[in-house]
Amino acid sequence: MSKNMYRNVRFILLLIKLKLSRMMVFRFSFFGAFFADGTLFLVQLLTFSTIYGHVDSIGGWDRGQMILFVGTFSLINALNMLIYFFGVIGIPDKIKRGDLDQYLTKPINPLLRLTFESVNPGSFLLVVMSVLIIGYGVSVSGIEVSAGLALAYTGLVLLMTLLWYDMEVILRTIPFLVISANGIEQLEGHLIDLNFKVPGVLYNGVLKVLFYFIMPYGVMSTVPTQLLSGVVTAPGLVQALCVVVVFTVFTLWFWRFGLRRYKSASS
Amino acid sequence: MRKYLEVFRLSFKMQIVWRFDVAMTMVATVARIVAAWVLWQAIFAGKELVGGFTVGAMLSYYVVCSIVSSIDFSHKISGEVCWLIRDGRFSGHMVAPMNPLGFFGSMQAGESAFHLGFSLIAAAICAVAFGMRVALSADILQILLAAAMIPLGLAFMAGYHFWIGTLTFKFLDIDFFLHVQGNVIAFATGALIPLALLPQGLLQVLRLLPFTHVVYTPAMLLTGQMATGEGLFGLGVLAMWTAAMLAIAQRTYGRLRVKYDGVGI
Repeated sequence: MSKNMYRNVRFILLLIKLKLSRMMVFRFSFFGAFFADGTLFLVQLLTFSTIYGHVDSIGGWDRGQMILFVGTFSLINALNMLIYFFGVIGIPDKIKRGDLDQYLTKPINPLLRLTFESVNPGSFLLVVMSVLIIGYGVSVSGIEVSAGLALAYTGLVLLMTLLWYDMEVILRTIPFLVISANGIEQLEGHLIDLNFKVPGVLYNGVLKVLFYFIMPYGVMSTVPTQLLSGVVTAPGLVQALCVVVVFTVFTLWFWRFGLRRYKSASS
Repeated sequence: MRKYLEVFRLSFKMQIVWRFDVAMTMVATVARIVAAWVLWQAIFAGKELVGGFTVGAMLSYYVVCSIVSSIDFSHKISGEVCWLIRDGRFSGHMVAPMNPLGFFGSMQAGESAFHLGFSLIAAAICAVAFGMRVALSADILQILLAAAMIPLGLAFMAGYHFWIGTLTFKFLDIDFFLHVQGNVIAFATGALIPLALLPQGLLQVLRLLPFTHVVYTPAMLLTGQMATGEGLFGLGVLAMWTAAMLAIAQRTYGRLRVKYDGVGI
């Protein structure tokens, strides 16, 4: 088991090295993701800042909590861009063109390779920017952050990054079963955009069920923000952790299920 | 002019093929309205007015704003021009007896016209489902002003995005610029929040820029929340910027096209 893990880690490091070599060819794009997403989150901060110029709280959240929400969303997105986004988004095209053959015939887990073969080091600046936004949110909220709280928050953010990964893989596994899934990616974009503008605490009824259990984008930034600002409830935290576990197990099963239905280029 | 009308007609008909895109336009409209409904219901909890808006006026603004935003496909122009130049396939547009700016503008107009009806349906469904009372202006002059500004704004955006796309002749890689300007412009057009909530000094600067009059001014006019005089001023500003932008885009294309290395050149 440990030998297998060691082999996987070595493989991931090799993929990162190869990706870095390729990125040096397009240096102008190196920080593309940082500029693109960086402005998105700054504009969102500006939007909330304008609204808080007229009100003191939104659904019980003050300005500091909303900054933490934007910062946390930005951080999860930054980790997504840094680690797996550019690898996972290529899955539908590889399925469509039969390029997945090259992954299946290699003696390495194809999902592992797809996940780590397109790391984007330029997004690291986005991580730094997100941490600065969170730091600003903490100072505005006046939260005392102990080492334990920082560790718990970091762990929860990593789990939510895993949940984001699960959603990305699930949606990009659907092309194994249908001819074209371009619309699914557009739908994902709209749902992320909606949940980026609306903290999960504001949802009620059908929307809460939808964004907490079925397409759990509403959980991702909300629960870590609640944890950091000390308003998370134990059932809320357990519920979020259960969602991560269920979705991760489902993702791995669904990926294997999809692979069995793959019609390769050579078949 | 007839050839551009033909492109418009063709683009309009082509949309029938892309049914899922039509569905996604409706989803985008719904998502914007749902986000506004959830957020502003929470903001208005226990309040009559926020920044001079009642909850009904605010939601009416977002309904109109989401319709106008959803029919703006101009961002596709910069993306497509960029890819055609990078792939060396822009040659076709250089040799065709048609101005590329006119071609892409007509294509976008056809797409916008087709999607308009579906966006209206999506907005109407949302308004009914969420019990919104959309308040529209009864002043015919305000409606006419908004009706004139919406296509003019789309023409400006088409020129602006064509201009950005042509920068690929010089810089080749403009992807990150496409994303950065998109985020900033979404804010400047008033698609994210009504610009009336901004500090007055900033609003005075923004009203001299064209982006404000692409979404914000028509939406405010249609919902009867802006004086007719201010609408006329916006129309004048937008008309001047549109004329300038189209001229700049045309001139930039004329100057940079000589740098093109493409298929068949």
